[in-house]
Amino acid sequence: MHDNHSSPDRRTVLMAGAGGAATQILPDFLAARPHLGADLRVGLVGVGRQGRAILAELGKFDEVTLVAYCDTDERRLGSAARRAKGAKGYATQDAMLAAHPDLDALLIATPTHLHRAPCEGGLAAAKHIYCESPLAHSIEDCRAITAAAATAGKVFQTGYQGRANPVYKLARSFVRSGAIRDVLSMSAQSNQKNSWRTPASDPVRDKALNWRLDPEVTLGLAGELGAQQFDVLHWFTGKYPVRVEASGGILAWRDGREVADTVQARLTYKDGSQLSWNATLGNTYNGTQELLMGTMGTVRLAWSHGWLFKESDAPTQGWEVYANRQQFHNDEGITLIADATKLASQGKLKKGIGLPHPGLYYGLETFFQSITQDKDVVCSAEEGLRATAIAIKVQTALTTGQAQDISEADLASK
Amino acid sequence: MPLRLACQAMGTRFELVLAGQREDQLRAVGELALEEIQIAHGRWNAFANDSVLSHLARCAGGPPVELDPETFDLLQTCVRVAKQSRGFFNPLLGPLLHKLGLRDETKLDPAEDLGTLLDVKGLVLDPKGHSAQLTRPGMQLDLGAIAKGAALDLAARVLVDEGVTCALLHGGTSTALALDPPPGKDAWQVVIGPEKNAPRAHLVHSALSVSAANSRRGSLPRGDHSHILDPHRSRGTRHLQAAAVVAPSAATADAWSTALVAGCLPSDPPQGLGLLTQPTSDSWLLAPGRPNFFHIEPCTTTTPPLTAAPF
Repeated sequence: MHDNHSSPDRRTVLMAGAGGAATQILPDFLAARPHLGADLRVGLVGVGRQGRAILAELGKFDEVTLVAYCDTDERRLGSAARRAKGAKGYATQDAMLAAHPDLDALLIATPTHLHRAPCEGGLAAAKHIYCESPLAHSIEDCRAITAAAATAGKVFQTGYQGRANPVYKLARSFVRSGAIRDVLSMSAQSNQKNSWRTPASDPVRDKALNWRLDPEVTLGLAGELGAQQFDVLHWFTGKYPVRVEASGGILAWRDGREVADTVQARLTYKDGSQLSWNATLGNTYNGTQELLMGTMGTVRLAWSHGWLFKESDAPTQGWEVYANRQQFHNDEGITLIADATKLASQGKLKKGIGLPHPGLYYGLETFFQSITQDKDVVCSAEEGLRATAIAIKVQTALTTGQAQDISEADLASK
Repeated sequence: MPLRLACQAMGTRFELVLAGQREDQLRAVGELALEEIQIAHGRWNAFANDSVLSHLARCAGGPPVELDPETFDLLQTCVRVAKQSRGFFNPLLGPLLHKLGLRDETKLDPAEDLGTLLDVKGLVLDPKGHSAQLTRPGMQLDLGAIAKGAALDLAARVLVDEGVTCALLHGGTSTALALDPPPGKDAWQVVIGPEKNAPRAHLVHSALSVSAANSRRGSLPRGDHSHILDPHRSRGTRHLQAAAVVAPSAATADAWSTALVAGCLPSDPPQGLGLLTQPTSDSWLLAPGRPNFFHIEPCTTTTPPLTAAPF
């Protein structure tokens, strides 16, 4: 994968930019209109919450045309018809593919436990696939998808968005180059206040729409919230946990549900370091974020924003003089700004604070670029399987009350 | 008991008061409506880099940008009210806010004529392509209160679509939207101000917005009278103390209450809207010839936060 941020002497580049002739070309991630280099015709499978979010982002890609979409829920099809002007709606993926055999790619946004069939069907029909995360609800389905992706010869990207996020890519380059030195511990949280219940007038529709609360198929908070974060931390550190313990309960929404609304998990790594993960549906404090604490500093990530907190004895880099800083009680964070050097040279450093698009946009952009520009896939089916497998282990530990060991075979695609 | 749900968005607190039979279903529907408000916040937040408004600003001077239907509809309302109000409502005040120091440190190009950047003709909407175009670099949408009203309209649509018809919604206590009245009542009563004798609006399937010239003193540019800007004079308005508008939609009510405080005449809004103005701090005036949704007693209201009285 090409990494714009891992190169090097930031001080030299920044100083040259600040004093020299400034180019007025904005960094790619700030570009108002992405350039893919080729036209793409895509179909959207599933137009619920995530499908709607995808629809909103697709409008930003001039070279991408949403040709068709499908969903088994009639009301959602009706709602999508208003948003997807010019595209045609279908009740099934098969009908959509039959009517539009010339689609280049499918974006899969069905419920997690219904990823396998559209992925396999799409790959069999020679379509590139973007599949929302987590990859599936069971390791068997994950492996089936991975096997299909391996033989199809098409681009397959799992929707773990951290890997495409410019702020996260920059933060990772810092961590990987030793800016915080040895990682001692990690923590992550995903806090929101929402019952996770979708209104439905009849029992059949209720079961279909409230799959996140169905203990038969859901991966719970670990899958729907945690997997994205597990993937980020695996990607940053290059290591996977070997054991997981989890606990939790129904503490916020005592409405007859059987799926925990508050969860804590402890993931232990081979070197003894740990990741502490917390999630709840009953409190929003500090939202979603990840923390990596090292001997020379701490990286705090919050999807559209990121900060580096340095220990007092950490060496000072020249570029820090120009850095944007933010105070958090007793700690001062250096704001992580993708392509800061280029922005600083144009006096536009603050324009880089907070990404100009939601994380989903970057996931889609990298997927499209993998198709049209032959760029490396940022999160393959195999990588998607590994993060999903960890989430499955967390959920298993939670529902059984038993710690789960994680072997290499558990994370293997075969 | 009514169910109350709330969320933070657009720098304020949105609250839904819902009545119905099953609380878990009411909550589920209410959360869907709050989600709609959060989506609206994500789209229309002029302060956030990843909003649709910021995206449009980055694309200013370039080709049209395809929009979601909600944003497109809202911009159509903006353009319509801007024309009807003779420019006293203006959705393109971003550059002026920068100039007055009410936004970030971004400097305007001194060569750029502010009047050109604020000209609503520079916001071109294409209904066929569902797209918008800001024709000059530097143009910037700032939807202010109308975004809040539009978010309430969208939330109300979710409630109705999901079968919840008895509800009152408000955003930041300055905009309220009523559906069916509470059980046993003819209307939702909304009090315009904290005083005992403050005016009251009676709302059924209608929205109320109150704009006040002095409600955010802390954010005023030095020497100015109001955070509501008079686009024709490029400064805070001195026209009215406050204005209250009842309209079929919250977005329309918000746009017109802003326009009235900014300087338009009570004769400018289309017929059918209820208007109440506060020229001085101790008097409220009903606009003649307008439907009367208000009950007024002598009062000395100077600040107009709303107090909802649901049951």
